[in-house]
Amino acid sequence: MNAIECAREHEVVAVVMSGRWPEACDPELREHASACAVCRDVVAIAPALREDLRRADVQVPAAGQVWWRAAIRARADAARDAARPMIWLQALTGAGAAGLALAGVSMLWPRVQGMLQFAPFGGSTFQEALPLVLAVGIGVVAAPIAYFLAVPRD
Amino acid sequence: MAEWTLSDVERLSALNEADRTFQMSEEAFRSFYELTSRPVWLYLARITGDPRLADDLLQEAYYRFLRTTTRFESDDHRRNYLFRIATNLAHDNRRRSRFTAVPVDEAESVVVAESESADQVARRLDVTRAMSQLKPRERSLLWLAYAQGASHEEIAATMGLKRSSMKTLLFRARRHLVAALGSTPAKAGRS
Repeated sequence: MNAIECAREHEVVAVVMSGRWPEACDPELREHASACAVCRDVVAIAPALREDLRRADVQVPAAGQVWWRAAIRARADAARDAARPMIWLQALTGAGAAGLALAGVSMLWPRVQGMLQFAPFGGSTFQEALPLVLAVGIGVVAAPIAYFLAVPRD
Repeated sequence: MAEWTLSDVERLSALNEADRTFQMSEEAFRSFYELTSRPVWLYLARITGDPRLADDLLQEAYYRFLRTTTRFESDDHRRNYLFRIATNLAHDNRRRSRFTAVPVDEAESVVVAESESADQVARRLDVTRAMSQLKPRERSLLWLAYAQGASHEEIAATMGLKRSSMKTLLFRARRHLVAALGSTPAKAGRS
C-alpha cells in the first residue's frame, strides 16, 4: 500500500529549506529518506525547487513604484465609486425624459393626425416622413445624453 | 511660493487616498515588499508559466493586499494572505482567458552559481521543465510546499483547500512531478 504522508516529511523539508540537505543533515534522517517512499519523492524535488527560488533571476519593480501605482489606482477607484450614484441618476433622468416624450407623443398623436388631414401639403407625404422626423428628433435629444454618459470624466 | 501643477494635486490626492484606504503605511509596505515580492513573483511566474503575466499579477496582488480590511495576527498570516491573493488571481486569470501556459525559458531563468555543480544545475533545469508539465494547481501545491517550505495548514489556507484533501492532492502532485522528471529531455540525455 502506498502511504500518502510520512510523519517525518516536515523534518526532511525543514532540513532542505535550511540548506543542510544532504551533507550536513543527520545520517539517520538520510537513511530514512532513502527508505521512505514519501520522503524519497520529497528529496527528489524539494532541493531543486528551493534552489530555483534562491537563485532565479527575478527583476521585480521597486517598492515605491508599486506603492504609487496602487495609490493612483485607489484614487481612480474612489473617484469612480463616488461618481457611480450620479451616473445612475443621470441614466434614470434620461430614461424618465424618454418616457415622458413618448407619453407626450402618444397623447398628442390623435390631434396631430387630425391636423394633418387639413394640412395644405397633403397628409400622406408628411405621414410617410413622420418616422424619419421622429427618429431625427429623438436622436438630437438622445445623442448628447448618450455622449455625456459614455465619455469618462475625471 | 511653489507652483501647484495638476500632477502635484493628483499626487497629493493619491497620497491621501492611500492613507485613507491602505492597511499599512508606505514605510511598512516597503519592508514587507522587500521580503515578499521576489518569492511572490517567482511563484506567479512558475504557476502561470508566463513572466510577463506574473508582472501584472504581482502589481494587482499588492493592490488588493493593500486594500484589504483583514486584520492580521502575525507576519506569517500577512504573507500567507498575500500568497492566497496571488493564487486566486492566477487561477481567475486562467479561467477567464484560458491561457496556455508558455513554459518559462529555463535557460534564462536558471542562474548558475560558482558553488553549484553541473549536475545540480541540470537537476534544477529538469525540475523546472517537469513542473511546466503539471496542472497549475499541482504547481502551486508543490511550489508552496517545497520552495516556500509552507506547512500543510498554510498551504490549505492559501489555496482554500481542506487539510485532508490537500494531503492527497500534494501526494498526487509529487508523484506526477517525479514521473515527469523521469521523462524530461535532460534526464533522458544523461541516463
